[in-house]
Amino acid sequence: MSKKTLTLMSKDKQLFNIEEHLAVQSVTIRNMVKEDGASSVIPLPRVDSETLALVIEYLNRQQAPEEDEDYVKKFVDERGEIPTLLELAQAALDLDIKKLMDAACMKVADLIKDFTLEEVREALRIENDRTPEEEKAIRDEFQWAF
Amino acid sequence: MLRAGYGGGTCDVCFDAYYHRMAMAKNGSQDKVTGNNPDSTNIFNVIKDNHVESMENTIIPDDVVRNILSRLSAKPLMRFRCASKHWNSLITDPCFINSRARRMILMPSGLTGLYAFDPKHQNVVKLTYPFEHQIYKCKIIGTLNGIVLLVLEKRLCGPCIFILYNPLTRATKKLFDLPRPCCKREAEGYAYGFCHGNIIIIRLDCLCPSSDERDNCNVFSLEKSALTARKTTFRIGEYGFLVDNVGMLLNGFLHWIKRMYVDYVLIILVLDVTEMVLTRMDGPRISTNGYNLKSSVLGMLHGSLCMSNRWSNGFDVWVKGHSEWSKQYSFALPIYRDGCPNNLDVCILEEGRILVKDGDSNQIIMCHLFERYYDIYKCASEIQAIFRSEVSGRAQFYDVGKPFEYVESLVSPSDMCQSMENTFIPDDVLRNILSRLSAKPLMRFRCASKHWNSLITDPCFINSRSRRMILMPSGLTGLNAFDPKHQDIVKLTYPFEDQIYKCKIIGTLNGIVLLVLENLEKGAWTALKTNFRLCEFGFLVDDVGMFLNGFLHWIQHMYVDYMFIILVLDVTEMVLTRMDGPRISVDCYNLKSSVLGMLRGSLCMSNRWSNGFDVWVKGHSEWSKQYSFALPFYRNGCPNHLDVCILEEGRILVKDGVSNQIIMCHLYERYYDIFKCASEIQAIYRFEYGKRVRYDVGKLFEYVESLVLPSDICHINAFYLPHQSHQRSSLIRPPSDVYPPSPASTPLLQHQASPFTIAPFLFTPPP
Repeated sequence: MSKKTLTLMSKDKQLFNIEEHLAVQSVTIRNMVKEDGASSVIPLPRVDSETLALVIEYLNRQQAPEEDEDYVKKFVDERGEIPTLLELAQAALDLDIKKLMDAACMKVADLIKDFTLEEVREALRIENDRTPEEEKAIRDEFQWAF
Repeated sequence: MLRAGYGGGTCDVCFDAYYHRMAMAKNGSQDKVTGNNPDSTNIFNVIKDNHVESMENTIIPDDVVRNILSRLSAKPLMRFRCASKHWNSLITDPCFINSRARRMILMPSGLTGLYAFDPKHQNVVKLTYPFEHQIYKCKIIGTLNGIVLLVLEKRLCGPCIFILYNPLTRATKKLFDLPRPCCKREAEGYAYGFCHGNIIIIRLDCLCPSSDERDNCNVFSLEKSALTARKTTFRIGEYGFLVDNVGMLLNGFLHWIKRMYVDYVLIILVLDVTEMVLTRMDGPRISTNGYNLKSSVLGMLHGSLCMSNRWSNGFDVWVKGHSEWSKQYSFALPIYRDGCPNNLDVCILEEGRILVKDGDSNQIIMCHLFERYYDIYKCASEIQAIFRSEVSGRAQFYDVGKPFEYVESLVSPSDMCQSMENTFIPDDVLRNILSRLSAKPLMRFRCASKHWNSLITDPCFINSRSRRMILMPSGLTGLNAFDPKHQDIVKLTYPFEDQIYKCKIIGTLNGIVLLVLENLEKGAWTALKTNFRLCEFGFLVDDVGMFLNGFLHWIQHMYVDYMFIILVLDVTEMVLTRMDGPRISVDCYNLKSSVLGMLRGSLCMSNRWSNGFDVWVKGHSEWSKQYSFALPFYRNGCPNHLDVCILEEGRILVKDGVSNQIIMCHLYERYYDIFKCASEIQAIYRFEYGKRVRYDVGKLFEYVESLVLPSDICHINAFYLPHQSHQRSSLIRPPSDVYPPSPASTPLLQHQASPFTIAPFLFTPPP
C-alpha cells in the first residue's frame, strides 16, 4: 500500500508534505480528509512556516505509545521559549492536536507561574488597560498573591 | 428553592452539654441561626441581611453589539472606538474584524484615486486616498493583511515613494524612496509578499538595453526595516518583456510571465529571492497575440502556480503540476458570444475565484471556478473613471495595474511586522494555560489586564479548572487540603494562623468554607425558640449536621440502648423529629465511621465492619444496605481511628490515622486508590492523637475551588448552584430525594418541593 501524502500550506504560503496516516493525528485534518479526500493543499492561514515545521516534526515522531508522554514533554522542553510555545499552542488549537496543545500550555504555565505582573505582560503580550488606581484596588484585595 | 446550606451543631467536650450552636446560610436572603442555651430552653438568633441587589441587566450582550458593529462601515466603526473601552476592545478584536470580513477588490485608476469593489454589497466605493490632491502617479503593488502597498511617483521627476496604506483606518506609513529607474523606463519588476516568514518588498530595476551592467535588485525587509540593493546575476529584460511587472511570490520564489521577442512564447521567470538566482521555466503551450497578453496572469490555485489564458469567449486556467502545465479549468463566458473584448483585465483571487474587469461594457464579472458559476455586476456611471483612464488617450499604454483583493483589517501599517506575529493569543490557549496554574499566580495575573481578569473570573473557567480538594481540618494548626488529582497535600493559607483560635469547619459551599472560630462572634443573631432539647437521652455522633432538602440531619447515639437514631430538624419551622437509623450494632470504635452523606439524592450512612464498610441508604420507608465495600489490606481488621467522609458521586474518603494514608473509594466503579501521605501531613494526625484525642477536629469536607467572594455567596449561588446540580442530575437519574421525615412536617415538605421533584412522596430506590 502506497502511503498517501498531504500538503499543508502555512500562512506565508510555504508548502509542507506529510504522510496522511501521520497527519490525521490532527482532528482538523482528519475531518478534512474524511469530507473531501483532501486531494489538494490544506491551507493553514494562521500558522507560520517555522511553527508548522515544528508541528510536522511532532507529527512525524516515531515513538512507542508508552514513551510518547515523555517524548511530548521533551519536545516542548527543548523549545522552552514562550513565543515559540504560544505559536505551537495556537497551531495545535487550530489543528486540534490535543496532546501537543496540553503539553505546550503546561510548559507555558510552568514558565510563567513565578512571573511578576510586568514580566507576564511582556511575555504574553498583554496591554495593561487599567489605571494605576484600579490596579492598586486589585493588588490590595489579593495582597497575598503578589 | 435551593436546598443547600451549612448545618451545624456543637456538642462540646462532654455528652450532656447544653450548649448548642448552629449556623446556616440559605440562598436568597442570608439567615444566620444560632442557639445559645445555658438553661433548658434553646434560643435561636436569626439575622437577615437583605442585601439582594437588583439584578437589572442594563448591559447589551456582546454578541448583539458585535452583530450591530459588524454591519457598520469603516467611518462609524472608527468613531465608535471612542465610545468606551469595552467597545474599543470589541472593535479591535481581530476575531471581530475577521468575522466582519469585508473583502474588497481594489481597482486602481492611476491618477484619480483608489476605488474598491465590494462584491457582497455589489457596489463600488471610492476609497479615501491621502494623496489625492498631489500629482502623483499611483501604482498598487499588492495587499497583505488589509494593508496596501502603493508606489507613488511625481509625474515628471522625483523619486518613487513606497507607502503602506490601510484603507480602513486611513493610516499611512512611508517606507522608503527609490530613485526612478533610468531611461524613463518603468522598473521592470515589483513584488510584495511573504518570504521565509518575513514580508519583503522587491523592486527590480531594469537597466538600459545598451548598458552592459546587470540589473539592480532592491529588497526591503519589513521585519528589519532595511533596504538592501543587490546586483543580480542576470538581466531580466533580455530578449523579451514582462507581461505584468508585479511578480507573484510563492514559497520564497518570485514569478513573472515574460514574453519573448523572437518566438512570442510565454515563459516564466523564477527568482530565488534569498540566493538571487534566476531560472527560467516553460510556460503553458498557448498561442499568444497582442490581445490576450493582458489576460495572461499568474495566480495560485490549490497551492500551485497557475496561469489564466483567454480564448475567444472565455478563458482557461493552466495549473503547474510536478513537471508540466495542464489545463484544469475552462470557463466559458456566454455573454461574450461574439468574442471577448480586447480590454479584459483578469485577476486570479483566492479560493478559485477569478475577477474579470471588462473595460468596454463597464462590467465586472466574478467567476467561481470550483462551483462553475459567475456573477456580473454592471457598474454605475460613477466608476467609469476606473475604465476611462485606462482606455482613453495617452493613458492607453500606461499600466494602472491589475485589481487586487484585500480584506479589511485594523492592522496599523507601522506595526505590520509585529502584528504578523499574531499579537493576540486565542482565549482557548490562554484558558488552557491558566487552568494549570495554582491559586497564587492566578490571583496575581488577574491584575495583568482586564481581559485576563474576565477570563479568570469567568465561572465556567473555574468550573473547568475544577480542582476538587479534600479539606483536612487539623484544629489549631491550620487548614490542609488533599488534592486527589495531583496526589499531594497542600497547606492552605489560613488567615487566623497567628491567633489562638480553635477552628472548626462546618461545611463548604461553592468553594467557600464556613469556619467557626471560638471566641469570635460574627454578625448579630435573632432568637427563635425551639420546642425540643437536642441532647436529651443521647449525644450527637457528629456535631456537623447534614443539610438535605431543607432538613438538617444529625446522627444521635442513644444512651440507653446504644442505637443510632437520626434527628431531623425542619429549619423553617424549628420542628425536630426523630427517625430510626439503620439497624446496626454500634461499639465505641465504629462510631467515628458512622457518618451521614448523600448518595443519588438520598440520605445515606456509612458503617464500618472489621475490614471494610457498608453504605446504608434511606429508602421510602426504611434503610437498606446497598453497598458493601471491602478494604482487603485491612485483613486483620480496620484500625479504630478511621475517619470516613461520604463525598459526591459515590466516592468515599477514608482517612487512616494510624498508617497515615488516605483511601479514596469509588462505590459505583468498585475500586479504590490509596495515597500514602508524606511526613508533612503527620500534623493532621498527630494533633488528633496527641493530648486532645477526644477533641473532634471535625470531619473531612470536599470543596471545589471558586472565586466566589464570601460576601457575595448569596448572590452567586442563585445562578451558580443550579449549574452544578444540573450537571449532577444529568449524570444520575432525576433525584427523587424527598422522603417523609415525620408526619408532622409533611405539609411543609410539599410546600418546599424542589423543582426537580415531581412527586414528593414517590421514592424510587437506586438500582
